[in-house]
Amino acid sequence: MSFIAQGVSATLGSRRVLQNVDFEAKAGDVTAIVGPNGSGKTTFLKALSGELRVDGHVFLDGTDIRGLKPWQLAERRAVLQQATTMAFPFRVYEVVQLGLSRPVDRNSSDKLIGQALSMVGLAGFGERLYQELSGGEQQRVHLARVLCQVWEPVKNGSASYLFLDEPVASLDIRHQIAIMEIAHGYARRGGGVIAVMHDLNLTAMFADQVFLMRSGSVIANGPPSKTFTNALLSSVFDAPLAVNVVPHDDIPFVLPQSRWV
Amino acid sequence: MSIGGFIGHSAAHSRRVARLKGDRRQLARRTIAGLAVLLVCVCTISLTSGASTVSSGDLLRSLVESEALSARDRIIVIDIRLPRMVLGVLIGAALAVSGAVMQGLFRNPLADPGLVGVSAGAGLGAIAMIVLGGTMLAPIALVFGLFALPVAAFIGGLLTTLVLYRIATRNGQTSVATMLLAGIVLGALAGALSGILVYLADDAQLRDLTFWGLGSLAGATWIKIATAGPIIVGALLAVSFVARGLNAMALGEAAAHQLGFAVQRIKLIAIVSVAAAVGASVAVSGGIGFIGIVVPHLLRLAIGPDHRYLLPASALLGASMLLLADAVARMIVAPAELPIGIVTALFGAPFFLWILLRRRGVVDL
Repeated sequence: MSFIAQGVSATLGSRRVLQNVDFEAKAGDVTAIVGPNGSGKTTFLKALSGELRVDGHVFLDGTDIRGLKPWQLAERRAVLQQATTMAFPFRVYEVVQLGLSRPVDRNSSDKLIGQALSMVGLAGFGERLYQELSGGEQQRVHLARVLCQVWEPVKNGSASYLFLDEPVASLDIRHQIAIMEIAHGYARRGGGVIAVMHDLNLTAMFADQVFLMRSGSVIANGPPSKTFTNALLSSVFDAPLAVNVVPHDDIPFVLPQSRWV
Repeated sequence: MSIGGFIGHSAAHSRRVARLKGDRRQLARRTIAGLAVLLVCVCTISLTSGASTVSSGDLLRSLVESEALSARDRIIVIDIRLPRMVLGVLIGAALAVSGAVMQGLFRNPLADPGLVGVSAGAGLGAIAMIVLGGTMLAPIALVFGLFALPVAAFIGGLLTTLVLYRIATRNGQTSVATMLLAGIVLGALAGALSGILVYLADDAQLRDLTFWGLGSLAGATWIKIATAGPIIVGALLAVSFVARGLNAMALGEAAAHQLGFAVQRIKLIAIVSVAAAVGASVAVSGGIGFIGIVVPHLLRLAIGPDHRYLLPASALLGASMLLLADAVARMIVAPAELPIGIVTALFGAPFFLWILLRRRGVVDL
């Protein structure tokens, strides 16, 4: 079971933003897409989610997603966008409820929404107005909504997928780790997670597979232990980067990985 | 709370589900029931008030015994006030729901068919049919017969809405400022073209135009109801199918697609329905403004923005508000009456200003 892209290319205006991208994300894995700004990560996620029509093919469990209706796709994958603005004064409960595709009875929908809100650390926020929350809280409300949409990592024998576009960008460190744990847990229970990531340490910590992108192409892919090398990272980001080197002098550094020590 | 606390808390929470706070559906259902009662009361007022008094007791008794009302009162109630009331209910519901749907579609609470030129476009269509119905537009007039006027208004409204949507929406996001300004421009253009047509009109047509343009329920007849009614009811039924889609659209078009909605179809149904409802309303009653902005706004404050409840509630409150405005229009200078458009603007304009000032920080002007 997998999400596969074959030879995906896309043009925005006159600019070629994706060039012949091959990609595979397996159910049960957290697959991270990493690369500098403007490397085509978000565009590629849109191609995978069926939002953007592109050249090439995207297959979900062997079916070309072009043959799937929006609601069929929505049952199999949910997307957390980078930023979502809401037009009207919805309450947190109501925003999360939007993730429930078909009307379910009140008891089970209440239960699901309550669980999703607790999971993202927003238990008791149901009555609050979305607009009155902080940016990080808003992002977590949307994560709860997205989780409600594909609550079961495996449903009727097929895996569901979470698409996360920079899921931790606006969060503090505690919530960054908590959100990545949710994603990780989702994958461990059989679902697939495809995440565009900027934080290399969290990627190293939680990703099973990494795709390094630059200028609309995949430069390398594989587990973090293989892809996170000085040479690869430095060339992808065009910046001198050193992996697993302790800074000299007395500069402190804080790594989420260190809690396992 | 530790990281593991998230999971532990979740399990504890699922055991004591109880009622989750934040759900406004119960409140919304009660409000809708209340609004239905209000509409019945307002309908009674509409039937019994006016230059000639008919008591509500007599009116009720007339339902069972036909002799309860005098022949004169029966004519007043059945041939004058009843069609007026029915037309008021239809148009009030059409305008309020159109406002709510447009606001949902444009993702902003300031969109209103009257304000952004849709009514003006529909008016242009209607005027063109009145003036050119015997010459240039004669084929259309022949094909559609009695429906020619609402159909022409519908086409005018539809074209305006489509142009407006194309101008104001880019990449699935609508700019409030662009929409309001484009609406003003489109309204002005439609007004200018209407002016040219009025200039071309002969004396008989001018008379028709004057009566039509007063913006009033005064000319209500069963024939008008038969032409506009089916269009309005059809449009109202159609938008009930996009209520959930409009909720998702509040997150933006991309997110609505990700949630599994056929965004293009939702937009098409919404645009055509609004144009049809506004076109039919404008064709029979001229321009009546602000119902579409006041009613949904008040209801969002009361029951929240969920369109599954907002749309039916808007229909009920819109009908009540227009009937009340009509009652005021009839009473304030009795036995003459004010055009109802003046009354709705008199109350609606300050209300709109209030919304604008409250949202000044939010609107990207």
